Amino acid sequence: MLESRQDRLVGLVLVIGGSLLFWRTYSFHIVDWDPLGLAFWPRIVLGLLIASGAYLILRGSLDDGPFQKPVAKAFAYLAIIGAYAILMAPIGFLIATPVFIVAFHLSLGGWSFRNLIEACILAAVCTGFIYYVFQDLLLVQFPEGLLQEPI
Amino acid sequence: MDFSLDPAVIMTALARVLEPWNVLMILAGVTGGIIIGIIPGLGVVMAIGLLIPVTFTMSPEVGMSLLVAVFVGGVSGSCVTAILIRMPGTPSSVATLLDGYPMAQNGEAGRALGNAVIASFFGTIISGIFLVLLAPLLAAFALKFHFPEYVAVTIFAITAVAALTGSTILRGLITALLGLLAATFGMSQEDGMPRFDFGRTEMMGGIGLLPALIGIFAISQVMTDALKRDRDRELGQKIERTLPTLSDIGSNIVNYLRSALIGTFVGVIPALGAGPAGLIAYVQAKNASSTPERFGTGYVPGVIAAETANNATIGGALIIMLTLGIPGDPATAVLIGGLMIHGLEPGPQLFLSNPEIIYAIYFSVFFSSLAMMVILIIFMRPLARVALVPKRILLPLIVVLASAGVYAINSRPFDIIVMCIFGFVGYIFERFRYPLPPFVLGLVLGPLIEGNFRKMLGQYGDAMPLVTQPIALTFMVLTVVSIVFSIWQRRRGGALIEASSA
Repeated sequence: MLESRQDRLVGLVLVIGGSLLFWRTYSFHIVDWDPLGLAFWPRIVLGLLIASGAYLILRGSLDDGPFQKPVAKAFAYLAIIGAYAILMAPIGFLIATPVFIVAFHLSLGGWSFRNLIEACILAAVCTGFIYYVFQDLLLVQFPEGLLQEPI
Repeated sequence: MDFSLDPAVIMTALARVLEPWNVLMILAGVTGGIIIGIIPGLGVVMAIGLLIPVTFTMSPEVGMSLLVAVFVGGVSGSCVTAILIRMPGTPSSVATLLDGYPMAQNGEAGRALGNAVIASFFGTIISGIFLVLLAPLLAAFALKFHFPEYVAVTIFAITAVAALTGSTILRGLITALLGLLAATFGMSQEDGMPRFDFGRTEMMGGIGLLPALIGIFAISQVMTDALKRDRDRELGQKIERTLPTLSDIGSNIVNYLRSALIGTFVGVIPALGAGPAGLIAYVQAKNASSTPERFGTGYVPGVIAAETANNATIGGALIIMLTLGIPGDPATAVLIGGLMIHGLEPGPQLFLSNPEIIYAIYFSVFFSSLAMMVILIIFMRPLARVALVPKRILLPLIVVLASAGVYAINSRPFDIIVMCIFGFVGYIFERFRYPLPPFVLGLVLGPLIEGNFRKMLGQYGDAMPLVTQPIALTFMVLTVVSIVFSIWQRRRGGALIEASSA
């Protein structure tokens, strides 16, 4: 079903998304030092994208090559990565990272006592090593989150 | 400008570069550069910048040798993660992963790394030869680039890559346009005012290049690999050969030369950089190949073209830096700082006042590329084993390393979220067969084309200089040729398939 409609779907997203962003360009600041202004270039790009999207909607499929349907489970893995990204600031790198590694490892390798032990060792070694390299050697300040000392 | 070679000064410079302390600095610099190239988020620019104060107490020759060695090592090292885990540490390795990663997946990680290293060596050496022999000529060529020429060359680069990397031209052009659009988010470089920030302060900085790159390549690949069966059984496999075969090298002589030429010329033009050079050389190699359909499936000439060209930009960037004092890219801008800390001003005067420094830099480029090749070949076998690590161990490590690297750039957790969003975008693009390289090129070259296009219109009043200026016209003609050639190539491919099935 999606095979024949994927380009049309992309076209639809381009037309709707492009139009919304085109409309958004009217809220840009007006600058008096350049007659072309802030919106000049984005409007050219958006205009071409909207035109391409409209063509895709009218044309339908561009070719009948091999089609790979997106797999829902892949988005579940992305959700785990996304949760790690979102939670890193509030709970801190040193808590979020081992939790993420154990969760991701078990979701890939399956639940078993052996896998749990392996995941815990991996989490401890990997978190410690990356923390040492980035925080201590390269002086990158990771978010401390829950481990931050109260002022 | 007098750029003639003086044998006595050359020998003096060579003797200084070959002093044990200097050789040690080159080895240390190349090793450090390779490590920095491998770790995402830590570019050579940062490494050179951090090392400049260290070079203050050294002689200018030793100091510049160290900085040049870091430069060469950093550009070369980024191919390792690109090939093994599809994570481009810098834009320069984007073209390398197009064939390098499929080779690693096909059990040829060692061969891919070996070819990449040898190509990096040849690329640096060939561009170094251009640097020594043709510096004034190429510098004069670079000075002819004004607003219309920049617009034309960026249009050519984007169109050529879009036309030749996708399954259809339109898909490539759409992803290129999306890259150009993404580049407009955040603060406008021309006006210093925000666009598409949606009222969020995090968006004022725009879409970071590295979060976007790592997202669309590495995170989307993690999403795909997570669904595949584990490869524990592969751990017992032996790593096949790590050095390229003589046939790999012999059958790609023209590819090395063409890609090195492209890389050097792109390197000479300020602000274009190694990423576009690799992609342009890659599509030209595909164009010239009798088996273009094999590109993108794990094909040695693809790796060679990309790595030769991105390393050849080193010589190109140094040409414009040394002869005119103009930084071709951020790395050479910091290198200029390394010269200035010793009271040396790059430019024509330096060739007259301190020619031994110039020759010492030349020799440093050659010896650094040799050291890079030796070091990477020594460590290639253990590095290649990364491709055999079970995915339940490798994939969480990739995500954490990518997140740490992306966070390290600006210390913003928001960049990790951007990386995830681009992971989604990359996954959808690949599933729908929309090519990723044009998107990268659009994102990298977006600010360059916008700025020059607006300045061209401001200066000339219209876009006519694109067809009235000789260099700009040449690139516009090449743009049309690349599109026409792509259409012809696809029709010919379709006709051949029909003929063979009849």
